[in-house]
Amino acid sequence: MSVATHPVPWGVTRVTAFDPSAPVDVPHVELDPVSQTGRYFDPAGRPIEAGRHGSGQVTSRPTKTAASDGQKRTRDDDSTLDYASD
Amino acid sequence: MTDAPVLVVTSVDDATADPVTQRLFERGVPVTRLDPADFLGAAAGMSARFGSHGMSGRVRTASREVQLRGVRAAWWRRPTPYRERAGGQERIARFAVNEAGLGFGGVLAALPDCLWVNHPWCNHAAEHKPAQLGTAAACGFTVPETLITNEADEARAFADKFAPVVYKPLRHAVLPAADGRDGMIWVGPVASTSLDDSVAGTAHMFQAQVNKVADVRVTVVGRRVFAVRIDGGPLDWRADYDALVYTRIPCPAEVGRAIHRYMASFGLLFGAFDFALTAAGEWVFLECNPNGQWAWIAEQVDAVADALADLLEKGRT
Repeated sequence: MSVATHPVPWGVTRVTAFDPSAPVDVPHVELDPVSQTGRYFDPAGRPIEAGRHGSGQVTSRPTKTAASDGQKRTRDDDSTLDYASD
Repeated sequence: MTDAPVLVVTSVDDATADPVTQRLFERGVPVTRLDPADFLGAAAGMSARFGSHGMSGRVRTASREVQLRGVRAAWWRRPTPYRERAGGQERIARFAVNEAGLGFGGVLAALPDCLWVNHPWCNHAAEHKPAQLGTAAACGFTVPETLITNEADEARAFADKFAPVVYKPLRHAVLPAADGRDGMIWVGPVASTSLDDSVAGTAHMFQAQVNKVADVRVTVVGRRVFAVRIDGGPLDWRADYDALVYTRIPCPAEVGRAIHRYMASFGLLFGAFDFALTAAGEWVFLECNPNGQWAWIAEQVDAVADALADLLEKGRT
């Protein structure tokens, strides 16, 4: 049996690209020092009237379980412990 | 009323943290938002002391200072990964990330008398799908036939025996698509003829596809259970949010009991369960994300945010 050093896993053949037409504008977010909630600003620096947060319309991090809607970027994982054990 | 603070551990742009944080603020509960990645640099500070008295010290952010001994509750949401802030040569960056995780992360994990939603080490254990499937079966859930393998022959035999089967990665990942753009892997059907020796390239998880009429997402906060039926979606409903219709539904008592056994097994106070609902009305366990998203479902966002605020406000009292 031959041993390949770095075989590309079969699972990689299953990757689908994100929707190219999705918007990628990312608002700037600052922390409100009093309420400790996020304050959102558009690329021109104007405050975004976000209403109730959590609906995901103006967020730069997705509120959904996977970024299928092209919101800028999703992290490649949601690891809670991003240090390697060795 | 106690003035012990609640820590919300997450990135500044985590919109899901806002409705809960806002509720705590409006109730007069001292709340501090903390992104541990800010410790890499000068944006936030931590100094923890240890001795025969145990642990003491403080955390400082741009707008708050918190004593480590007095934290009422901590909500672990979606902090920025340390590696996004670690600079320098790769091995040096890895050193910085590891020291940060074990040091800053370790101090937070050791907060005395703090109610964790969820403790990050419990999240870590509960994120492993093999542990999820084994625990789910032990708790009384119906669990689909599943195979994790790097052996193509085993994968083909499984795909034939339990056809139709699906492939799902063990963790959501962003990967380059064939055209170079970012992409991801949706849960999708597998033809046994497509399985070749590249299955040996890493661990692959295959599962008998459940013949479902709808999906159910159950968001659990302490003893409270919020079930939402999801209709109109494709096989992997995450692939087309626009098509989805959400309906709050009651959770059958038997499923609820299994859910609470499962939560207790992993030491979780929050969990996002995915079930496939069959025509016969059976709830088939697919997975439980211990730190899953919930705020995009407008039908439940206020109820879940209220429940989380209640839990964090109460703390361990």
